[in-house]
Amino acid sequence: MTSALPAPHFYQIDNATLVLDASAISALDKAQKQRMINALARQLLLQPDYVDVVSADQTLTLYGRSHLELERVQHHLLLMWQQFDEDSSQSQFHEIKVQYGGKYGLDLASVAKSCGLSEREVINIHTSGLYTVDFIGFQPGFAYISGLDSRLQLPRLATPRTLVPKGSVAIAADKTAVYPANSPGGWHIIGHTEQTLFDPSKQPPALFAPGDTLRFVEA
Amino acid sequence: MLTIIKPGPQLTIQDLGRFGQRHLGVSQCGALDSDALRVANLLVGNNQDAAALEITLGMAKLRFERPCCFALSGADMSANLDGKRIDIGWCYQAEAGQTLTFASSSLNLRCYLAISGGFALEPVLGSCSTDCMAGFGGLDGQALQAGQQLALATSDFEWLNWGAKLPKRQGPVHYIAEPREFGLAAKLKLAFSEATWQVSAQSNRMGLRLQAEPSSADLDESISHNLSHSLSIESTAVAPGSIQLPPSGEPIVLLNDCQTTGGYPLLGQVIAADLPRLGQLKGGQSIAFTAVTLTQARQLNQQHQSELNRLRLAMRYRRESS
Repeated sequence: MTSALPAPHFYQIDNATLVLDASAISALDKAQKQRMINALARQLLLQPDYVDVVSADQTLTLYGRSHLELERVQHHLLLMWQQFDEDSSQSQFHEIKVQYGGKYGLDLASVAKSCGLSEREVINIHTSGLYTVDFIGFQPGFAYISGLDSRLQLPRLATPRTLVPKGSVAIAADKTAVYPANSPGGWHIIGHTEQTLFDPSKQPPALFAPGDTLRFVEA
Repeated sequence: MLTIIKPGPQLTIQDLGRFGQRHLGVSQCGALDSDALRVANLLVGNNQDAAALEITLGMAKLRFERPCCFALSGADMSANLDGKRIDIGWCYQAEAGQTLTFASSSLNLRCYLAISGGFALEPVLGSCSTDCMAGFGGLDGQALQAGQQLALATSDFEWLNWGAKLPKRQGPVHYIAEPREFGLAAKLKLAFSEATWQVSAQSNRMGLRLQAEPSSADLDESISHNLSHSLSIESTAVAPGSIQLPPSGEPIVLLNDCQTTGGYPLLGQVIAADLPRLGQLKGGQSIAFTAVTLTQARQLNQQHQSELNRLRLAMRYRRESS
């Protein structure tokens, strides 16, 4: 355990909503801060005081069951923040089988071209990384996954597609993602997985939880 | 059984919404005018969070296939039961084969139909609310279509000749100003609360889109212009009532079907007590916002909550003594 970790900022959004914001902490790197936020989120989800606990980029938002007293919660959260223990995080590891390119990855060729790589190199780079689920948003089970190699980082498509098929494996900026359902989307599609990412009849319904780690393997 | 003869523009099954799943990207959904849902349910002896039908705009037609008690609350869409006028906020009996027809309302957007016992539905992730975006909840994850039938749950509620009103709701919408900067200038935040906004026809269950009032075009053009920006922020959690400011300078007040995270700067959060009203605003209607402190917000929320509690207790007392 590191002593005296730099403290995040706290904001009260409304009577029952608080935000922990770690974005201004410069002494810790982004990945480390996100791990701490997600470890905290997992613990807080088990506490009856909160209806919802939502991780996002460098922030954690707490939705209280009733009125939340900023000072009291802040004190409690700071203690938990200070006690962060890398080893105790309960995250899961996933292996996602992907069929790359061709009809499965409509943008693989253009991604390869834009990055100055061959399609094979793009696949090799994408499958060699160890990735982390930063947070979930956009749609049920849609994970914003960090750890994308800098050689594959491209801006989003100028014009988003109106339909990205369920199971599409995609990249944009410094993130990669898998679309849990058919939806519009502006990420570059490089492959497809058969893995179900979200099933409301299952418990838990989402395959990925914030803080989980994963690798992509070629099917 | 209830048969959907005509659904109108959007007919969905909604209860108070889906909670505890936001970290998995699952939206809250649920009745936009939760006050009206509660009142309609209480009138037919249901728990206030039972699933009911949310009728949008009107033009819907439904047939009762077995006798039941029902009540409407929210927008008055001049409904009639086989030609007999049905008032908002009153409990009625329907016979098998009777048809409930909705016209429309010039004032409000959404009407709630509660039926004694509620619908026989399997909740998904703790709620019967329809999530049309994600495609689950309700009957089949979609808005109801003509020809579909809904099974009714059994009920021991005996008809009462009674009515109930919604809590009073008027004046500006109260919000708590966003404490984070997001790079937005203070004068820009002030401009938001000083302007009168018009609800855009592009609004839906995900959000209320706002436009500058056209009545004072010169002034308002500068308001939209003042509010426009080119900031993009790291994704942060958003919820119903979050006021987003996209680069266009036209704010969006998020509603129940909104996503769980968003990448636009935020201006504030509408207080819980004023959220149900937002679901009744139609395209073209005016809306103004007043910033309040956390203490004021807490008082207003408690006032609203105690009005609902008083109503619920009074109705329980009346029911037990009848």
